[in-house]
Amino acid sequence: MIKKIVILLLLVAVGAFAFLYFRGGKDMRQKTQVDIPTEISSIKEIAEWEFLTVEMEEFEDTVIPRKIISDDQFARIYKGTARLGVDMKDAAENWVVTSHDTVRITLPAIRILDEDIIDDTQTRTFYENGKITPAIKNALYERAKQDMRRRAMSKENITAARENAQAQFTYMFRSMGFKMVHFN
Amino acid sequence: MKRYGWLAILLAFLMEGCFLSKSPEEKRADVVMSIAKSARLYTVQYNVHKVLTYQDFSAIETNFLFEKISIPIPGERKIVLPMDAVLKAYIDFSSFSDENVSVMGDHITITLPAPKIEMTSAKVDYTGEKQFLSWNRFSFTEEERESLLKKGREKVLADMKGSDIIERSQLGAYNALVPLVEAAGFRRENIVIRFDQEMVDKSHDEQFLLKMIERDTL
Repeated sequence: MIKKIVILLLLVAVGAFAFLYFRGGKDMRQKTQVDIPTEISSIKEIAEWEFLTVEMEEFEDTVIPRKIISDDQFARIYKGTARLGVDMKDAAENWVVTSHDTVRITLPAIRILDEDIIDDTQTRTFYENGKITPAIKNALYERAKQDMRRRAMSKENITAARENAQAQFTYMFRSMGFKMVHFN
Repeated sequence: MKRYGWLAILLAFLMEGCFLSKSPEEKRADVVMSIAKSARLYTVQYNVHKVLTYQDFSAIETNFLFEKISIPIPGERKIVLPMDAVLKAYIDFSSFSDENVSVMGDHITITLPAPKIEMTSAKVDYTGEKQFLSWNRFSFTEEERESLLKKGREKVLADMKGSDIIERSQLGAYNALVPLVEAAGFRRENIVIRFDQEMVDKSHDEQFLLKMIERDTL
């Protein structure tokens, strides 16, 4: 008897629920977010001069063969910025030599100033067929990073960064009173 | 005959997978690239770690007897997504001019603009991701993860307002520029490096910080 009453009550509850839902009810997601403070892992003093900014979007895809029906395919779009310039920790001790109104500067080689250049918080999934695993995401990220670095370090970009570096240092030393600025 | 009709439809679906879908190479989108000259001195680097969390539960919202009611559906889902980011503070020299340098005999004063902050990279730790799902809830989609990460990015940048990154950046700029000015023949005690104080005071204001970051990074 009790069993029958419970089943009846359940049916009434489901019926009432369905009635309310189909009378214009909406499925609403109620969100809560627990904020865990940002933790500073390390702080480092640096002296890096950036002279060329290369902003890129990289499209990476992969296909994982499956035996049944169709292969898994994934494509993601990565956003990154390569900052070309000089890191003063690479500079020789006497990288600036002055004599009267002349200064001779030896700048370190132009390089990408950051180890990682991708902002993964802006990565977008373009296509997804199958279950994308962390290993696939990591592999695509690494490939995007290498492709971006290779493209950013083109001969033209290195030349443009070096020329801009020379122009900026020339300007800075002229404003300090030097008439002639030479580069090695 | 009807049986063959179904077979034809099934074959068409299978062939769609084999022949009609474009290869990933065909779908390859154009790579976007923009190059701009810049003149920035990065003076301090912060490596940060953030654990992003999110949880939700469903509820049916409806009208009953002219009253808006919300009936929660049992079951929830949660996600924990860790990420690491690198933030750097820099001095923008792109508008640096003679007006920023004042030489009086053997004394030199250099006035610099206030430091700015930029997130130079971020990496999501997908292997460290954890999901907790009730039996009646579906897994998080990639779009939901992307939305959570965008909010996380803003949160990390906003959290920097309470840090000492601006002060450290000023000190870093001093340490980077003094050897350069010394090499130009000025004595250390005769070198003054100062910052646009009004901008520095504003730098800890959250709205100002976010506006500054958006302009520079988005």
